[in-house]
Amino acid sequence: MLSDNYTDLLKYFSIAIEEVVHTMAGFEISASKDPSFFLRDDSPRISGLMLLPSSKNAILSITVSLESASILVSYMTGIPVDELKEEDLYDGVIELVNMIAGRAKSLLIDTTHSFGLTAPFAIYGRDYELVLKKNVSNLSKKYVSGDLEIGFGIFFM
Amino acid sequence: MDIKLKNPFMASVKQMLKQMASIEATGNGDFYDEKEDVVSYGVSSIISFSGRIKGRLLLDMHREVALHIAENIISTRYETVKDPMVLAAISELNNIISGDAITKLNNEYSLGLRLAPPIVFTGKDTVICIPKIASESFDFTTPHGNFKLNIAFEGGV
Amino acid sequence: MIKRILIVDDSPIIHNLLRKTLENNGYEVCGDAKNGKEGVELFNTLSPDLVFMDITMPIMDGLEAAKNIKQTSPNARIIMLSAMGDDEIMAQAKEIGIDIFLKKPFDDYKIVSALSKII
Repeated sequence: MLSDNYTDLLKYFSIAIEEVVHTMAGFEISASKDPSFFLRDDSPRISGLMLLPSSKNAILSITVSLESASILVSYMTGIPVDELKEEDLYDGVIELVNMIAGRAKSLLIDTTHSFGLTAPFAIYGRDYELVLKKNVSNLSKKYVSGDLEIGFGIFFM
Repeated sequence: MDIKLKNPFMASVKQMLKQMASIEATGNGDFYDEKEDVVSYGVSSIISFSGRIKGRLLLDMHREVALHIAENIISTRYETVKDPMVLAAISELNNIISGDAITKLNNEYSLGLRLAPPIVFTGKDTVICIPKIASESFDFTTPHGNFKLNIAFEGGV
Repeated sequence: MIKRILIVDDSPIIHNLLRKTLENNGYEVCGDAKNGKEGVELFNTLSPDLVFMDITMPIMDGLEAAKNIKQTSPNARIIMLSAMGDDEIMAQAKEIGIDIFLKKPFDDYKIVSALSKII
């Protein structure tokens, strides 16, 4: 069970992801009530990750299917879906995670929560599993907008 | 990249693989600039550290190497790298390798580097995309397969 | 009387390895904690003879947990076991009153040797 302190922090990350996706790709996303997460299947997907160093280290992660990545990046860049290369998708997801972290940091500037930003990276594949060291408090949400699905996670260590 | 920053990691990989897992790792050539995309051998672990400078160590290895590491550390044979204890063994190995290397860097250059908990992932045909920060890799061979070290720093000594 | 030991580390591997070493050498593992906060709680309920404490852990790190324990139980015996071992961290550990600082990786000899010095 997350403490009120964490819940408050997570609210700002949720605002950040909604704002960034709306600003960069024009989608109004909302948290899905469906707790099931498409990550359980074998389809290829991309995760953008960034470590947020602070007194309570956290990892921010955004995971999308290849299709959702294509939709997002196409809207972000104006490049038609069928002209996008794989590198465009990684770059796009990495940029998103970079912007979400940056936006969350600025939203939190007048609060007691502060964290650093580090160079983001992405993982692409099918059926990969991420394992964090142990026992982290976390929030995982699925955001949707039409066919678009975005898995958002923040893991406090 | 300053050789003073990367060499302790190479030395720690060799030493800790031997000391913890009784695996001889033979270095191949020298450090080389890594492209943005690293195609994983099958099992990867990333650990970040920050202080006066920030950095990240990626260890990547064939599944058989990971299985042997786990077997030699825990004295139990595992059938799949997805077993939580295998991934925990790789996580701990990364923690110890990084801890050893940054201890040397901290003592030598007063960098005040501190580790964040590692993340481990495994999957089919996984690609790790690491733009925005220049990195260098060093390849090892072991009796069970390949092992790669990839180190990235923002800033220098 | 068998000495009772509390292990505080977020790695199941370390718990596994330490437990084997300790039990093979006649010690009893009376508790396992996965982070510093749990470690402090278990220390208070179990009153072990000694604590093995990692540093980098979620929720509460080992230095903070050790400080907590020492504040309420100044005679608590703590062996710090960590992948980190630079001068600054060791100075902090010394200031808190850690009995012995061991760097990972460890072998049976290092563990038993350290234990025999303090309990």
